Amino acid sequence: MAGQALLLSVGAGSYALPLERVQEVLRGPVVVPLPGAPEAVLGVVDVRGEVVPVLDTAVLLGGAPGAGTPYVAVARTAAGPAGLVADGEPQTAPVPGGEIELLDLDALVAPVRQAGAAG
Amino acid sequence: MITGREQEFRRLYEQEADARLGSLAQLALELEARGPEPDIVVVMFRHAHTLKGGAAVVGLADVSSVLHDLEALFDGLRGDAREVGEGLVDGILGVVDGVRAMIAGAMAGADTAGAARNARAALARARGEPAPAVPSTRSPPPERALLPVRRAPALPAARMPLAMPDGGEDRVAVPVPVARLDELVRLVGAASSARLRLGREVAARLGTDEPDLEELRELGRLLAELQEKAMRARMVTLGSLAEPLRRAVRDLARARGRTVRWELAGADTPFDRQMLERLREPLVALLRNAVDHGIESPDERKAAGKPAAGLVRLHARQVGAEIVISVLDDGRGVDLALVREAAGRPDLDDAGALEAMFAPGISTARTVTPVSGRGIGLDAVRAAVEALHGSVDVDSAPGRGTDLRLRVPLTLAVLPCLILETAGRPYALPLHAVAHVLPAGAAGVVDETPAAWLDGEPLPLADLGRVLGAGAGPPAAGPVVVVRSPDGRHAFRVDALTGHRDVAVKDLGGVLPRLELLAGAAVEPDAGILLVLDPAGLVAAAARVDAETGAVPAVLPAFDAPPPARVLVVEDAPIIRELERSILSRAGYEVETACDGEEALERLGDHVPDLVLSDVDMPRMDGFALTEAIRAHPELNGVPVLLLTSRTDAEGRERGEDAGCDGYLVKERFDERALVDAVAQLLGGRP
Repeated sequence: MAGQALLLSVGAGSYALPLERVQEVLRGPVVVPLPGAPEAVLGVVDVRGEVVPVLDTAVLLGGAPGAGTPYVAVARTAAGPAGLVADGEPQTAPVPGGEIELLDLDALVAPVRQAGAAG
Repeated sequence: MITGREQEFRRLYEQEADARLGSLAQLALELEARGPEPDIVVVMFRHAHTLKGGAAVVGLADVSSVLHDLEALFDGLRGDAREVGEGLVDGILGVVDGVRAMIAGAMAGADTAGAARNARAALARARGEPAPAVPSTRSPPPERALLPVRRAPALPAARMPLAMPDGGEDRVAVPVPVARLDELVRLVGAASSARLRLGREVAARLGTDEPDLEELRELGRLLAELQEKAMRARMVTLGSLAEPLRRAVRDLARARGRTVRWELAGADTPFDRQMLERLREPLVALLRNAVDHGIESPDERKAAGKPAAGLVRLHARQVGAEIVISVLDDGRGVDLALVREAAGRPDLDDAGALEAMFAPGISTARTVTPVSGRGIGLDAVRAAVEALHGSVDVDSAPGRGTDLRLRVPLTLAVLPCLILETAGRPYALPLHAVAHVLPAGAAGVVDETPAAWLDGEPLPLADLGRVLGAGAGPPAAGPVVVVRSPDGRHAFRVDALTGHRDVAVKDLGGVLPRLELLAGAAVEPDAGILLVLDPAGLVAAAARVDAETGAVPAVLPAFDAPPPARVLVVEDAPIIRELERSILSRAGYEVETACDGEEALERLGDHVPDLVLSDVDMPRMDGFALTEAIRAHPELNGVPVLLLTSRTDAEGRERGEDAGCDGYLVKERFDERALVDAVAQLLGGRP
């Protein structure tokens, strides 16, 4: 059975998150930057009383830093909740869906923890 | 193969066994201190019996077998226990240790044969059978004289109560895994946050600041109560640690040939479970230190006119949102000359020398500070306590003894913090690490080498915003906060201090690495996310910045600006006192301070201030009593009194008004502007 995915537009590409792992999408949230955090970490947001880190999806995907945090998809990863930045409003779509890459959430955010340990 | 369910049972058994084995060891020490009272032996028998049954149920056959023999030993003692020998108590303690190791090994899936051998050897010792000799200060017991021979019939198992002893067999206890309690506390916290958001939403719809809805307030009260109860459920008492601590004292005293009288006060003081676990090692170190370096030999003590038995006293008590644990001995006191020598600082005064005891690297060879043999030194004790957001201080009198006090917050979740602003953002800084607050004028830049001057010592000074990586923007020009860490003290200039309050600190989440500069974050009901700074990380990062910029401490110009109105600040907490002083000084007032009501009255006798700002809860004389005394005084009764308190209840306010105070500020809502406004209002707009 094909599940649903949330499509994030990041830079020139489009990436799919398993929809059941997405808690909600924030539009233009207030992101508080964290001093001393790795490059991929843009800060934290208050998601109804919970402190959730916001990650620069473009950097996680190996690209240059994105611009701003117009949309943040809050996803549940194995290590805890994480906000992933998207440039445009995320859309839902069935998976598998053509040439769109389905992101492995846990593998995507894992290097963030490593970045701190190394630095 | 062990299934998950069996493992779960074993975990519960491990928890129960830990408590019962602790009681067993405690009782063995009682046996030694009070002699063979049948009541004690009966309770010991029950513990062994219950533990044996439990071990069999969860499939720990070896453990069950050792406990079976221990049970038989107690059963025999019940019938015939004329005297208690050293071997018996040592043996029981050894069995307790051995069984603990066996259970721990089984839980970890390790080989438990070694632990089982140790337990068996200890059992033999307890029975009076040949065992390896240990150094003893007493005469050896006559051969086998203390071995109780099995005579009495075994107690019928059916009569064994199943509930835990320790003060109430009528109390039914259900073992609950700690993780489930943690989850409960987390959910209650989430529910409280939801209520706050609901309140905001309702306020927004009604167009008011604070929704005046009885239902909403009721919900808030209930949630607060639920949260408190849930936190309590997760708490343990100091008593749960009494046995290993007492053992540490006893074992070392015997090894060193000291006679020690053990006292424990405040055994029912509640602790966050994690907190107590992490305090265990520091407490053992301090107690060993007291025995090793405090208590003199019995001969020395007699020569000094002291009782032969030295006192080692552990005392815990809750003071507001803090717990104070005191480790006191009536021994020889700290040899300050030796500390000065070890520190290489012959110039230190007494207070400085006591402080120097906690410095890392104070000579271990001279055995002034560190625990000899195994254990950790005082520097490690301080580091461990500071990691718990606590502090350590010490009093000592030559020939009279030493009193070391640890202060830790009641829980790790809520921290009293100083709220400050730097580089345009608010931050919280845990108050325990704030050594001092200096007004803006007290520090300056000399030859581009920033420093602050405190207690006759220059401190490196850095712009907090720059240390936090906010490169752009003008440098801060506000007050200076001196932060204490295990690495030393460092001063930071900030833009402003805006108040202090309790902050519910949350983890930044498992996705992120540990960040050096941050202890966590809090979600404020009305202000979004507030970052909580990590004092130790801050000082370490600042030291690196200093090294890059070549900052050198230098002497600073003094500041002077005599303001027209004089305010007497009465507050027992030094940091809050300094904060109030700092805020009022900056607003242009001349500020005097007193630590409590009695000292305030002495000050008032010297000269009359224009206003008294007083805390309510203080030692010796509280704020209410001070207000009453001022009102009753013919020359002082016109002085306005502003009370500042953490009490939000109407009763406190009424008491303040009855006592005759002119204004009332609630600490939870206290900030710079509220304080300055209230003071200015009472002084009719001055200065």
